[in-house]
Amino acid sequence: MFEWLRTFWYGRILFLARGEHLAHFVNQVSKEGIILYHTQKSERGMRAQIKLADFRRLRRPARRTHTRVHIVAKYGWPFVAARWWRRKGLLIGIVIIASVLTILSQLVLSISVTGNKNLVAADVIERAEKLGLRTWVYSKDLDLNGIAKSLQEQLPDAAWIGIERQGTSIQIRVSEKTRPSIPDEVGNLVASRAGIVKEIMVIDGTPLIHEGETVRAGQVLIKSPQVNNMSSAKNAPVSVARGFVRARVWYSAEGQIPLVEDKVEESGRVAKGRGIKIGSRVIMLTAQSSPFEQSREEVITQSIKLWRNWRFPVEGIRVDHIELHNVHIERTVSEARQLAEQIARAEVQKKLTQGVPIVLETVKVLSDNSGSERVRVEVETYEDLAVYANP
Amino acid sequence: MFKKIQTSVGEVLDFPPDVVGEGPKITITGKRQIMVENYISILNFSEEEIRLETAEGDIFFRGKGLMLKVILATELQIEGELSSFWFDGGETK
Repeated sequence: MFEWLRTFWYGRILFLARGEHLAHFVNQVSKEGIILYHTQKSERGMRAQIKLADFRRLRRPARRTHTRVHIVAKYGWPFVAARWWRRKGLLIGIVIIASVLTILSQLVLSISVTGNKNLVAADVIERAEKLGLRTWVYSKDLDLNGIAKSLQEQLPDAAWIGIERQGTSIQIRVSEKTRPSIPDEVGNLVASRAGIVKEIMVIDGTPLIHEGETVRAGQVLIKSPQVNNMSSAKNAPVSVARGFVRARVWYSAEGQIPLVEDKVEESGRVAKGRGIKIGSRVIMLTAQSSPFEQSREEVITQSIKLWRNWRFPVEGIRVDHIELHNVHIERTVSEARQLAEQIARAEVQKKLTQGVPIVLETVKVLSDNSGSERVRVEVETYEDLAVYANP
Repeated sequence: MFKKIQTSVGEVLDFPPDVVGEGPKITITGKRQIMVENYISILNFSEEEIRLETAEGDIFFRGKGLMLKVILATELQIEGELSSFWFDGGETK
């Protein structure tokens, strides 16, 4: 391997020597200190190889022994180099291309921003340029971490900014903060429930409805006024609509009472029993079992707490036996209706906005043939619907 | 005179003969490689026969496709298919 490399480096000349005294020529040559390689005789003369540097020294022995030397082939680096030297343009071109590539590969050629939704990429790039991260700049000189840090300080909407270099392209990766969204409805007056609008009074803002219109719950009634001047915006960051929207609102509830009813009720009599509980064992001292025919049990354990969560292993136990009895109720139709009406009215009262005057109240008996009475109470009120939207 | 002293000193000190003597050292490896050290000159050579002059007389190498692979002033490497070699004439000094 190394022998071959050395041969290539020094260059070899393959020559043909012709003459009468070839052996003598060879002896003379080796006396000169020249090394002959692969010397071989053929019909035409003698072939041999020689180092390029020794070729000139071959002249004297050749002249002395009347030998003629012809070069057959040249081989090795010196000849290759000479050939290249003749094509200087090509060589210069290769060097120029290599150096241009080397220089360009160390520059920043493209900057891109990824991961941004609300931030504008152009703005991020502009800020980065002010920090020194621009195209046609040596990327080795850039302190990418420092730039990322100061970019993050400049952009409050970015939770994190990372800058990555891949060859000549620089990628700014942005991860944005998720901010609580401010709904559009803020400051608007919306309907608290459905109803028919009878009266609108706008103090501040734009009404979006007209009188006589049926509105749904949550519909915008009065839109908040737009803020034009900056000074008022400072004092009141969210402008607020003001006004009243009075409307007719209906409420309804139903009550149902069966004509014949069987149910189990507590009679009011209670028998108390006391006992001791050790672990999972229960020893009843009084009222070992319920004295009643039908009863419900309520168990209360009383333990003595010694310290922290150490409990005395013996606990006192109290069992209340509550007597139950069956009740059979038979009602007349009018009784049942009255009861159902009471229930329905109580239900409606819960739905009503407090302190609202009732304009009209209707009680409807709904036909029902399943042995019970159903009554619906409908109430109409006249009230202010406009409330501020829940942000 | 000097030669004799050199030889006897060499014998006493157990020098190997190639250090002391003037004669050639011929190393034949297999059939294809021959190395001759300490030769005086090449007398004649062709693909079939190579004749060398040494202090111990001429040496003949016979074979096929003989080639002088490296020729140095005191060393010779021959490659080729060797069939025979012999010494001829020459006067011992």
